Amino acid sequence: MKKYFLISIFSLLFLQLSAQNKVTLSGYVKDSANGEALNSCNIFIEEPKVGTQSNAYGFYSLSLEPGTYIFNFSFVGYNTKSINVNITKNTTLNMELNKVLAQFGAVTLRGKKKDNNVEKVEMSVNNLNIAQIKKIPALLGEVDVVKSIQLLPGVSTVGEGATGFNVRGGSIDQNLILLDEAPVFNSSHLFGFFSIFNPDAVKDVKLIKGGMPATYGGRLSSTLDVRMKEGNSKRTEVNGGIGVIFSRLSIEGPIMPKRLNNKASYIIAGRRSYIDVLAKPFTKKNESLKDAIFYFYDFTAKVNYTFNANNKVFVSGYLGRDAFGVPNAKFDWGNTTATVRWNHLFSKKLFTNFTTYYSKYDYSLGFGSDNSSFRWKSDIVNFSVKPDFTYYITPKNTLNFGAISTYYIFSPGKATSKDLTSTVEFGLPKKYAMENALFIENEQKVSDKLTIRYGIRVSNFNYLGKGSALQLQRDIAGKRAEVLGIKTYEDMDVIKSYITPEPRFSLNYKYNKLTALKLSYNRMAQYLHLISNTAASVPLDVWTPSTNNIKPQIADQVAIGYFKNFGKNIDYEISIESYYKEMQNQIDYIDGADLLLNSQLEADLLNGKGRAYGLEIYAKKNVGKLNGWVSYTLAKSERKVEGISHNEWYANRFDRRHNLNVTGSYDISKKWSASASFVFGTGTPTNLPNTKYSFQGIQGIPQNASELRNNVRIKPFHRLDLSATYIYKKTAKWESSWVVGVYNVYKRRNPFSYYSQPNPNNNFETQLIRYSVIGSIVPSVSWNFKF
Amino acid sequence: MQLFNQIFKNTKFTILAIAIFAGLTACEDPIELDLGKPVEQLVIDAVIDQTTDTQYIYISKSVGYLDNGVAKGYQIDTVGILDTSSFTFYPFKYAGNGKYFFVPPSANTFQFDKDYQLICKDGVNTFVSQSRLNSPTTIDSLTYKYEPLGAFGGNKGNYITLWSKDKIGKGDFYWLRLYRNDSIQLQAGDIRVGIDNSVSQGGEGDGNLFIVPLRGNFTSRPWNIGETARIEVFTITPEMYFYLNLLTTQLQNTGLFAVPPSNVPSNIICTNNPENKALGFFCMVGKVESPTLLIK
Repeated sequence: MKKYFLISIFSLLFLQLSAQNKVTLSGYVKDSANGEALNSCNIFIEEPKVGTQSNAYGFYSLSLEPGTYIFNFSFVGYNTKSINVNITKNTTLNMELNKVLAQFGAVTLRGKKKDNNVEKVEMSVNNLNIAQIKKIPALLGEVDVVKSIQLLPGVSTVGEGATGFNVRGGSIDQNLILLDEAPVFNSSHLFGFFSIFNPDAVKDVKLIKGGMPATYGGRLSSTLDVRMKEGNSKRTEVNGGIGVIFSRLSIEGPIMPKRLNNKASYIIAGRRSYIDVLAKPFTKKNESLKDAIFYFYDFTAKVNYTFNANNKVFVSGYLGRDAFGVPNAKFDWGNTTATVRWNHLFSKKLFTNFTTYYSKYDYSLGFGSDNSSFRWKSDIVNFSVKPDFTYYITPKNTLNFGAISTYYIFSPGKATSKDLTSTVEFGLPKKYAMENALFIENEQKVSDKLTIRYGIRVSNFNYLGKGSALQLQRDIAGKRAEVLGIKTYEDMDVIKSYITPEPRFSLNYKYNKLTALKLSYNRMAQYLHLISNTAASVPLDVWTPSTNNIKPQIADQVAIGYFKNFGKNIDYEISIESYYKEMQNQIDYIDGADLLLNSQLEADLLNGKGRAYGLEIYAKKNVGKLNGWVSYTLAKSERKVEGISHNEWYANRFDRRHNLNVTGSYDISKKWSASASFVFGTGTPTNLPNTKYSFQGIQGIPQNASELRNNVRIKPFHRLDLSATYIYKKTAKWESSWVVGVYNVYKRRNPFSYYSQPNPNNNFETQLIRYSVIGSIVPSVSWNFKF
Repeated sequence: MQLFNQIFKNTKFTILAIAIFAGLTACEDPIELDLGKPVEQLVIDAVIDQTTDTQYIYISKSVGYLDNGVAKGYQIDTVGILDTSSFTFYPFKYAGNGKYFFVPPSANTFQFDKDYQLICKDGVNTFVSQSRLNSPTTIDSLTYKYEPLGAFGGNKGNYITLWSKDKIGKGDFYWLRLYRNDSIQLQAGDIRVGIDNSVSQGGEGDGNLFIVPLRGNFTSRPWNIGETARIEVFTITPEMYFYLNLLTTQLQNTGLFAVPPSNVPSNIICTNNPENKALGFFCMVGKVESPTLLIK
C-alpha cells in the first residue's frame, strides 16, 4: 500500500514537470557587511505569487516562465531589496542585503522572515540566531547555546549542571547534536555547566523536535543543528571577551583578498578557562591540591573557498578538552570533529552538498603514582559521507534526496594497571558498526493554502565483526540475563543487521495570511545508545551500538499545531502544538547494573517502551526595543519495563509536568540594554526508600518496600536571572561592552535531587538530603570587544 | 559502578572541580519528608565461614527510614544450616536480641565446595536460601608506605597494600574486610569487593596478584603511626558480590551523578509465599586473614 502511494505521488510530480518550459533564476543571498550566507531568506514575486527560500548555504533557485518580474529579497533585520529583472534564459543573481541600522546602539535581532512561522511547512522547529542567544542572561555571563535552547517549549533538563537536554520526553542521547553536520557526542564542558559551542563562532542554531525532515535521522527526539560562521569575507574582524570563567577570542576575515579575489575567508576561535590560575592562592596551602588541574578549552576553525559559480568548499574543525585532577588522580575528556563540505551546482536547479566528516569523543582517567597506577581510556570514532541533493523542480516542488553512510568504531574501555614489577592490561574489545540511509522527500505547494512535505528515509545498521555476540536468556523479568553462549565473528562479518523504513510527513494548511494549521508525523530510528543510568549523564558514559541483543530504538510521533501571527507589523507570533510520541526498545537497567568495563553488559540491560505527550504554547516578539518569548509546556513522559515498578507505567526521571520559561530583553538607550529570564518547572520524580535495615554491621541499608520506581516527586524548580549590557564605546572600527549579570537573583536552592544516606557523623542514623547544585546568587561581569 | 565509586567517591576532585570552577556553592540540606507508613519486613543476616569460631545469624525487622536507632532483634521459631550432601541440620541457639549462635564441633563441619542451606521458620512462613562454600585464597603480606602526594586523591600519609593472589580459575569473588585498630570498618566507602584479581568484570587477571585498585586504596584516610591494620579476605559467591556491590552503591548514591536508587535484592525466599519477601543475605564464605600490621 505504502509502495503504491509513493509511486503515485512521485509519478504525479514528474508528470507535472515534463510539461514545463521554464527558465531559472538562482544565486546566493549574503550579508553585505561580512559576506555570511543568509539562511531562510525569502525570495518572492508578487505576480504570479510564487517564492522560495535560501538554504543553509544561502542558495536559492526559482523557475518561472520567461518574462519580467520584480523580485523581493526579505530577511528580518535587513532592508528588503526589490529588483526588476527580465529573464529570458537561466540567470544567476547573487544578492547582498544590508542590515537595518538599530534604532539604538544595541544589537538588532535578525532572523527569518516575519511570517515564516505561518508560511513554512515545518513545525516543532525553533530557530535561534546568535544575536538572540547573546541576549539571554547566562550563568556567569557566559553565552551558552545549549542553555538557551532549554528555554524553548518542549525542552527541559534534569536540573542545573546536568549535561544535555531532554526534548519532548526523550532522554539526552536521543538528541542529534550537529556542529557543521558532524555529530557531537558530549556537548558539555565542566560536566554540564557550559556547552562546548563558542558563541563567537556560531552563526545560528536550529532545533527540530518533530516533523523531522528526511535528511536527518539516527536519533529519536530531536536534531540540534549548529552552524558555524563562514568568516567575514569583506574585512578582518576580531571578537573577544574576558569573563569570570574563561576568555575567548576569534579572528575572521578574507584570505588574500586581492590575490584570491575575495573568494576565500576563515574564522578561528578559541576559549580557555583560567579559574585554575585564579584558584591557585586558595589551593596552594593544601598539599594534595596545590598542583591541581582544572581547565577546559576549545578551538574552532573554518575556511571556505569559492572555486567558481558552481563550486565552493568549506573545511571546518573543532577541538575541545576538559581536564580535572590532582597530581595522583586525573580525568580528561573532549570532542574532536572535522568536516569537509563541497557545494556543487549540477545545474541552476540542482544544488548538491557533499559532506564528509570525522568525529571523535574520548575520555581517559587515571590515578595512582608513578610507582603504582591505574589508567583507563574509552572513545567513539566515526567517519561519514553524505551527498545531499536539492532539486528545485518548480516553485511548487522542491525535492530533497541523498544518502549517508557512517562507519563507527567503539572502544568501550581499556585499562592498564601498573606497578614497579608488572603491568596488567585489560578491558573490552573494540566494536564496529556501519549505518547507512537513503532519503527522498518532496515539498509540494498543492495550493495557495495547502503545502505538504512527504518522504521516506530508509536506514540500515550493521553491527560488524571483529567481535562476539552474546546469546542471552532472561528467566526472571528485571533480573540479569543468563549468558547461554558466545559466538565470535571475524573482520567485517555482519553480526546483526537492521533495516527501518522511516516515513516522514508534514502538512501546512494556511487558513489565512496570518494563521496556519500544521500536522506532522515522523518515524525515527536510533542505533546508538548512551549507556547511562545516572540522573545527570557523566563524561564516563559509554556509547554502544545496537547488537543482536540491543534492538534499535524506534519512535513514532504525531504533532498538530496552530500558528498565528499578529500585531501592527506582524511583530508577534504564537504557536500551540500538541504531540504524542511512542517509543520502542527503550533501554533500562537491572538493579545493580555494572555499566563500566563489563564484557557482559548486555545481560544487565532491559528493554522497555516509552510514551510522551504534551502541549506546548510559545509566544514570541521578534523585533523592537522589547523582544523575547514566553513558553509553556504541559508534558508527561513515562516508561514501562518488564520487571520494574510491578510492570506498570512509571514517570521518567526527567518528567516535568509544567514548564514555564519567560525571557526578554529591552533596549533602554543607545548605551544600555537589559535582559531577564524566569524559569519554572515541576519537580522531577525520584526514588526514595521508606524503610532500612542492617547487615553484617553495615547500617542504614535503604529499602523501598513499595517497589515503585520514582515514588516521590521533588519540589518545583524556579529561578530568575538578570543581566545588563552597557556599550562603552561604539565606532565603525571599535566596539566594546560590559555585561553585568546576576544568576539566581532570589537565591533559590533549587533541588536537583533528594537522596537518602547514613548520617556521616552517626551511622545508626539515616537522613534525607536535598541536593542543590547552585544554592546562592551568582553574580558575574564580562567585557566584550570587537574591532 | 564499583569502579566508578572508587574513582569518584574516594577522591574529591570532582566536587572540588565543580565548586572551585564555577565559584558555586552546591548545597546539601537535610529535609523532612513524609515517606508513608513503613512496611516492616523480616531481615536475615547470615554469613558463615569454615572456621571453628562461633558462627552467628542475626534476625531483625526493617524499620522506617527516618526512625533513628538500632534495629531491634526479633525471635523466630527455627534458625539453622543444612548440609545438603549429608542432610545434617545444624540448629542455631537463641542468644537474645535476634542473635542466634552455633559452635562448629570440628574443623570439618563446613567443607569447601559443598552446598549449604539456610532454613528459618517464623510461624507458618519458612525462609530458605542456599550457598556454596568456596575455599579461601592466600595472603602473602600486608604492607604500608608513605605517600607524599596522598593515594587516589586522599591526603598525604601512610597507606596500606594487601599482597594477595587470586585463586586459579576464573570467576572468584572476594570481600576484603578492613580492620583499623581491631575495629571493622563498615562505612560504605570502606566496603571492598573484587572479581578475580580486579574490581570489575572486564579483568583478565585470573590467578594473578590483586591489581592496583583492589589491593590498595582501602580508605581515603591515611594511617597514623601506632595504628594497626588487618584485612580479612572472604571468598564469597557471585550473588553475594553483586549484593555487596549494589549495597555499597546505594549507601553512597549521592550528588550529581547518583543512579536511580534501587532495592538490594536478597537471596532468601519464603517457600510458602514468594510474595512474603525477606531482606538480608545468606552466604557461606572461605575466610583467611592477614597478620596484624603495626604502622611505625
